[in-house]
Amino acid sequence: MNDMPDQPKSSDDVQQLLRDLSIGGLQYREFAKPNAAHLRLAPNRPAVEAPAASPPSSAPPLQTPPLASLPQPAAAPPLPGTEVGPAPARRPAATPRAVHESPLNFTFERLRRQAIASRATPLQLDLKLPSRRRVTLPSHLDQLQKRPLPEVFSSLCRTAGDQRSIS
Amino acid sequence: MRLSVILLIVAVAVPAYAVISAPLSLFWQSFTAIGMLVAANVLVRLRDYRWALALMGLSVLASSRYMWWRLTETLPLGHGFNAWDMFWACGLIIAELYAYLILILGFVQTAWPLHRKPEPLPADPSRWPTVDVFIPSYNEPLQVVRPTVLAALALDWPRDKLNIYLLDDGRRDEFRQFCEEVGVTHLTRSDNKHAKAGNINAALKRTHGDFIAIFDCDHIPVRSFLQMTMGTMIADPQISLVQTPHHFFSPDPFERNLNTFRKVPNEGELFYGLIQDGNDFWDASFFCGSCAVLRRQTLDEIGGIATETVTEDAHTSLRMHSRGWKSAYINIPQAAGLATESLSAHVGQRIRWARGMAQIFRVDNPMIMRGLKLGQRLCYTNAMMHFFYGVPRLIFLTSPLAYLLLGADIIKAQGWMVLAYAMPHVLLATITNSRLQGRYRHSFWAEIYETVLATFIIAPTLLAVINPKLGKFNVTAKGGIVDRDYFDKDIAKPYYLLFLLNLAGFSVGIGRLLLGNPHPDTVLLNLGWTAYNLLIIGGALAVASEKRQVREAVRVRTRIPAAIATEPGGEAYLTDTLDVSYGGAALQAPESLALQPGQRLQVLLMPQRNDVWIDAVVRRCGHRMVAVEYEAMSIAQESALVQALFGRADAWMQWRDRQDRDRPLHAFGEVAQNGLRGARAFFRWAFTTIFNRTADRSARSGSA
Repeated sequence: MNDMPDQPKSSDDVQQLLRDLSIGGLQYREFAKPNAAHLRLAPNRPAVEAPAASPPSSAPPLQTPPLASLPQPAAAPPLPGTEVGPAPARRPAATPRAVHESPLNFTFERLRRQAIASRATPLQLDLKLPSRRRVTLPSHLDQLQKRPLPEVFSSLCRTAGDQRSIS
Repeated sequence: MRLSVILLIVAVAVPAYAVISAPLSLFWQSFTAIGMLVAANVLVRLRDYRWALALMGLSVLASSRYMWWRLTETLPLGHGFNAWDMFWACGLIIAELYAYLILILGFVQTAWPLHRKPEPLPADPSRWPTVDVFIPSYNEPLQVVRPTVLAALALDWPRDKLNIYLLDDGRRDEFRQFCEEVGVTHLTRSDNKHAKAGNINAALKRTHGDFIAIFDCDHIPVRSFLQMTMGTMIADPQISLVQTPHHFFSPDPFERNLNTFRKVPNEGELFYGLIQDGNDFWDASFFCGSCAVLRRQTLDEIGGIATETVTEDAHTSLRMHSRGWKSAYINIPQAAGLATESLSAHVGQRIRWARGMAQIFRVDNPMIMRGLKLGQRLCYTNAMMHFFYGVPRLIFLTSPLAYLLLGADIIKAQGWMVLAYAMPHVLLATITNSRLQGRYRHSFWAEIYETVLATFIIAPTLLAVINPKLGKFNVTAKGGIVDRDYFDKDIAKPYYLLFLLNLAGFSVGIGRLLLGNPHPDTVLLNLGWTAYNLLIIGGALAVASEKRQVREAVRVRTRIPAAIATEPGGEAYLTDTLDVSYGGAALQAPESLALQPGQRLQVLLMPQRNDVWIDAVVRRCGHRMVAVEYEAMSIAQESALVQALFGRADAWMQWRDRQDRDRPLHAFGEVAQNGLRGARAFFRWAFTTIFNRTADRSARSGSA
């Protein structure tokens, strides 16, 4: 079921497709404005109780795609639903322009795509991630705290050669 | 100019004649055969397409040389041969001449595929013409038609210039209600005269768009269809028709029963992938009844869609061409539909095509019809002649039996000599076709496709030639389901008769060889031929072993961005689909989401373009995937699903890219494997049937 590494992800971006596949100089026009969904994204934390969904050890790890990697067509508004915070202190850029029906539209469109990341009013996504947690496992910490200091220092002072001989 | 052409023809024809007609001994003919094979193997490795043309020339030389030899030296005439030998020999030579003619015509037809690209449209959409979309339907269920209508509504074309009509020859209330609900026009007429052609002609009288886009009711267009095709129409006002491929997202009976879906190109891919592109070079690409745009002015001029034959589409475009109109083919899948589910439905559809083409051959023969160019005559003739393959195929499948079972000498030559002449003919044709068609038809698969249909199309084509008015239009059944595994013994009857005959011939041949036949080379040659036939017929038997269709709705393996929410308006988890169907979807399970079977959730497909959530229930989860089944959908939800699943511009565009290229030996291995599988299925069925009948009889006699 999951053996589809060759399967390209669909973006349904016709203009990009025409360019990628070199199929003519058609300037594609969208007549039905795409209604991008307003999503409130869930935080990316592992499930606590999901016995049925637990993967076999052979399965590759799967990651929920980060928001930034979600493909967005040029004509679509930024992924709505993600709460837009105040713009950071950056150099303001030109006001976003509408795509005109001009013969040069192709060029403008391409430039717009390239410039989209450096816009003056980029999105700041407030993902409401949970606060950071300590990574060290408590059991190890406890163990470390229980060891007498001389033993800790002596282990630190071992030479690399000693360690090799030990291992 | 004309003189230079004549000189060129003479310059090529004289040495070609010398090569074709030179009589050679066995040694020198074998030497020539090896030389031709070596040359072909060199040419096939050269990527420049002009070398493929050279390969074509070489193949024509080898085949012509073989045919010349067959006609001048091997007919069983003279002392030692009788009328019986001559009868069988005539049959074989007619079949070989037919195959030779089709080979040459095929080379001409596909010599230079045009690979036409979409033309740009005027910058100002207000200058774009009006388009009427016709979706004819007769007896198909509404669930088959709904996605087509919803996808047509989402075509990227100015709203005020697009009108959608559902041409309902079934005059059904539920269709009318659906049309009212979604806002398309429901057109009916008082009778069903001339079937689909009549239905379209009736609609033409009641509509006014400049252009007509026609979709069979199960062919779902992608949203870019009109912009991909209409530029060509506008750029050249002489173009009357723009056709696009018929693409099928469900496996046909060959693909399902032989398990070759998306691995081996299906039966139709050669036509839509290469032949129509080749026709386009000769301005002879023709209308295929669906997924095409036609110019109303031309239709008005020729009196609408042709109604005299059951393949009204090809007949209509033939008439357009004969009046000087042009056609175009854009080889980019812009719609997709359901393939026929069962072998019997598939055979029924092909019988109609064969009969229709034979009718056109009789009613408006392209070789004598006025107004056509030479290239158009040849392309149309090949398209029609192709459907007369029934008798030749049957002859090829039985010819060695004339020698093995009946003792007839049908070729007046030594076995080794036949091999020395026939091998370069057959192998070069195979290598050349693999070079030209490899992407769209794997070697040796045509043998299975033709064997399956051969016996069924003989009578309809011959009857159509005798009386083109015989028979009526039969609608191809779509949207059904094969609910169990079974051996279709009725449709397989000709295959197992042929199989048993060949098996008998093979056994007798082995016996002859062991008993010391004076011509062991001839016996061996016929045994090899019979063994090959057994494999091919075995392949046909494998196709007749129907495999159960697991799901009612066809799953399309596609990777679409999606989102899952466990409650309306709740937090969304971004993911991708693994496959999607009209009834449900399989998605990669977000790591941070715990799901249980039976849990209700919402799925959003293509969130960057669509904000309509679909209610669903989890059916299975685990192994990092979740399978959901949609709940009852509103029109908006169904439309969102259609857009995401079928309506995406890139839905089918790169479908062919994932298929393997043809490797003739590998393809032969696959065909042989299926042949053995089919033979096994047949024996299993035969022994089970015999055993059951015997058991029944003994039970009945016991009870009596």
